[in-house]
Amino acid sequence: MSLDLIPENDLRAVLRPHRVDPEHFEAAVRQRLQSLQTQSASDPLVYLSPFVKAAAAFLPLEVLAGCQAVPTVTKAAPAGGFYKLLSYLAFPAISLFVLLGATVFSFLKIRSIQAQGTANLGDQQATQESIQDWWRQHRLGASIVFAVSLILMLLGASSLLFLFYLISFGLLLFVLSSFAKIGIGNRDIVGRTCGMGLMFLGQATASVPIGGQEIHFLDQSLISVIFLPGVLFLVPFAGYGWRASAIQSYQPRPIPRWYWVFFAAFVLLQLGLVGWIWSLGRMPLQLRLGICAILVFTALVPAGGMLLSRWIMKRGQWTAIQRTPVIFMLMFLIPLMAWNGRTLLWPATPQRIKQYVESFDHARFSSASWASWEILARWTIDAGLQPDLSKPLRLLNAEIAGIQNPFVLSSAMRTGLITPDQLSQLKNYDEKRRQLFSRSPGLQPLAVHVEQYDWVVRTAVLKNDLSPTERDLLEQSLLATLDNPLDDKYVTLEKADHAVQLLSAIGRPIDRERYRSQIHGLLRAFHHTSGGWGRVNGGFRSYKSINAGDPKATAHAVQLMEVFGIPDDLNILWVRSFLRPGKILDQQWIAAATLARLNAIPTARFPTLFDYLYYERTILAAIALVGLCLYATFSSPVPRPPSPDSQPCPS
Amino acid sequence: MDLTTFINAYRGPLIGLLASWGAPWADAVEIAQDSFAEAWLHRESCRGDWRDTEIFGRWLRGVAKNQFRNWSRSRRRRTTRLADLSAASLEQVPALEDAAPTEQIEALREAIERLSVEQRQVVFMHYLEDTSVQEIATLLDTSLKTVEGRLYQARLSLRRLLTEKHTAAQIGMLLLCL
Repeated sequence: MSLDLIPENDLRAVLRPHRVDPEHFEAAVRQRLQSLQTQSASDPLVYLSPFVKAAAAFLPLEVLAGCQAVPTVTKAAPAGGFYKLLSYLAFPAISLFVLLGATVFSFLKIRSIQAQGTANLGDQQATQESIQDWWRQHRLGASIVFAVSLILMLLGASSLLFLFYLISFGLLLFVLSSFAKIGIGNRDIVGRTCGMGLMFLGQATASVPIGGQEIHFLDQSLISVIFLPGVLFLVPFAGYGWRASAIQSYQPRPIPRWYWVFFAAFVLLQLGLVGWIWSLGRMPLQLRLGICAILVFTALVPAGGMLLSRWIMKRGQWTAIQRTPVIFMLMFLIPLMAWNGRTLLWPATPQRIKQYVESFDHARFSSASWASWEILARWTIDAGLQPDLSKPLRLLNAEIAGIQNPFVLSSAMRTGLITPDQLSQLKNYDEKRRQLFSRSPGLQPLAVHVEQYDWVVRTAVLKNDLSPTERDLLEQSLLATLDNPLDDKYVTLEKADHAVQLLSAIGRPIDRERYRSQIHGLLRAFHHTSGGWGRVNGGFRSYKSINAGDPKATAHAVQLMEVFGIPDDLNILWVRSFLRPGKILDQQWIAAATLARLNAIPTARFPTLFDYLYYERTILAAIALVGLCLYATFSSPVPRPPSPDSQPCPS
Repeated sequence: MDLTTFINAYRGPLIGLLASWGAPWADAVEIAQDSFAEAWLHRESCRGDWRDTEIFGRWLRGVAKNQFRNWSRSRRRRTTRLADLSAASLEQVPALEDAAPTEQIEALREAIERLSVEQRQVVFMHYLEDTSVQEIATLLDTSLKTVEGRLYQARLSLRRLLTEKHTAAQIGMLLLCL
């Protein structure tokens, strides 16, 4: 095959007619450039998209521009239709993020300038007035935004709320970055705006119980742990001012006396807390070390902050640093993050549950504390963790030597804590045994008082003190509890679970097939998936009439599921959601042990990756929001010193 | 680096690129002028050091793409308004010809129109003002070898297209003679 190519000269000849005169071309480019520059100087918003222009109608441009904008900048032309709708969507973020930040920082700046006794106060006061004007003009809209946010939080619709803010904030950042490109606003302003908004959301999510009405598998307090590091990244923007005027006029001030007093008091308080935490013998060593380290670190923050500010001042840069808000922020943020991230820092691992079981040497709430401990002790034994029960045994000995609470004895019996040689010390055994069998079978006494007589039956079994007839009688009595459980208004899952266990103890295990439908009906009736504010849904009620899930009742429900299986129409993801980390005190251990029991049931459905992505959308949204904030801040241009012909703020 | 240097480096290939995207030559010149002005005005927004010819070339390409998109949208609106004008008539903007095209040149022009987009693109960009392959590679965000390969393939395709055309004409003549 010949490689006969078209001559290049022919190609040049074909295109020659389309060539342009270089000089004419350049002249035309320069003419266009001049025209663009003229337009840009007279109206900086001219090249922005219609949406940005529409959103600008809502923004206090004097605040964003730092009073350096030419007057025409403030004439943001509102657009219509779709763009206007989009700008309304940005309004919540504007009112929440921009104005909060602007109000706080403007106030701080005025205080700082007043303290220095320098000029420039007029500019800041004018900024403050422009913010107040904005609030006056948009009072209704801003009130609606705050009310809707609060209502959505109270209703527990946190996903919807976060989606709302994510969209709104995304639009706001688009507007801010567009403005930053044309010189209105800068990295400082975007950083402060983002930092303030994240601070608000971080605190709101830390203080309001969110996500209780929805399925989640992770501790929802982690949302605030996601927001607050974002604030930490943006803390420098809260601490200094880039404005040349502020830097020039700044005179370093000595650290005020009240600061030293506060610092000393704070350090003493932290050290006191360290001593108190260290004295809590029941708390695991690692946990104590972790908390004490955080407290010591927090105590050192003010000293570190003072040293840092002195160093910065010596360098002659950023002389307008506001050390106080930065230090206060750090003092506040670090413990808050540690507390809300406790499920990550100190998760409820099997070893920790075992430590808790072993450290049980004080029943603060008597039988209630024993009931909680029993759930955990039985799980550690079933899981083969072989806990050392010497401390609980000492506590039991004290109980046996004392009043011998029947509920405590029952709990101790069920965990196998009472040894055969202790049986003779149970002083009420003979009398209770007599009461148990002296009643008419028709009255079904045990059905009502199974918890009280549990220890009596188990003692009789251990002593081999039950005849076959008595066993029959007990079996009938216990089965009567399970025959029509929903007819009994005092029935509880705990009672049903203990009845099933007691049947096994007397050598008459329950017929699972026969009682499956009754137990499943009971589980369905006690399952709680909708409730009011502040409750975490998905658990099981302790009583039918109570409209809230309970960790202990849920533990008994899962133990019943181990025997009878999981009801087909019961969404186990709800139960997983209820048992998610985030509970406090002994409830966190009960939830973790119950979840471990649930995971061991072969038919228990595990959440898929899609489930995680769908149900943890709030956390994903929070991550996206923080990422968006950091990107918007660090991609914005650094502030430039004002030009000599810049306009002062209108006062 | 000043504006003149950038214009001299990228004028030809940019006009060629815009023409290859479908803009008539006269419009391509206008869009290229707008693109240079816009890219220069907002050069500080360019990622990286705009003084680097390559970085500015990539920035210019992005700006030109947006300008072309805007031009396309406005042309669509114009076409809708002027429904009586056919698309073809809008395309037929007279070129600045200084001589009547010969039959061979006219055949070559038609053949160029039949090239693939990628091949037509490099032909326009390279031969309009004899621009170096480096600037073309920068504007197309591709390698020198790729541009050279496309140019070679384009010339080869053009030869084949012209040969096929002649062969078909010769067969027609023979058939007429018979």
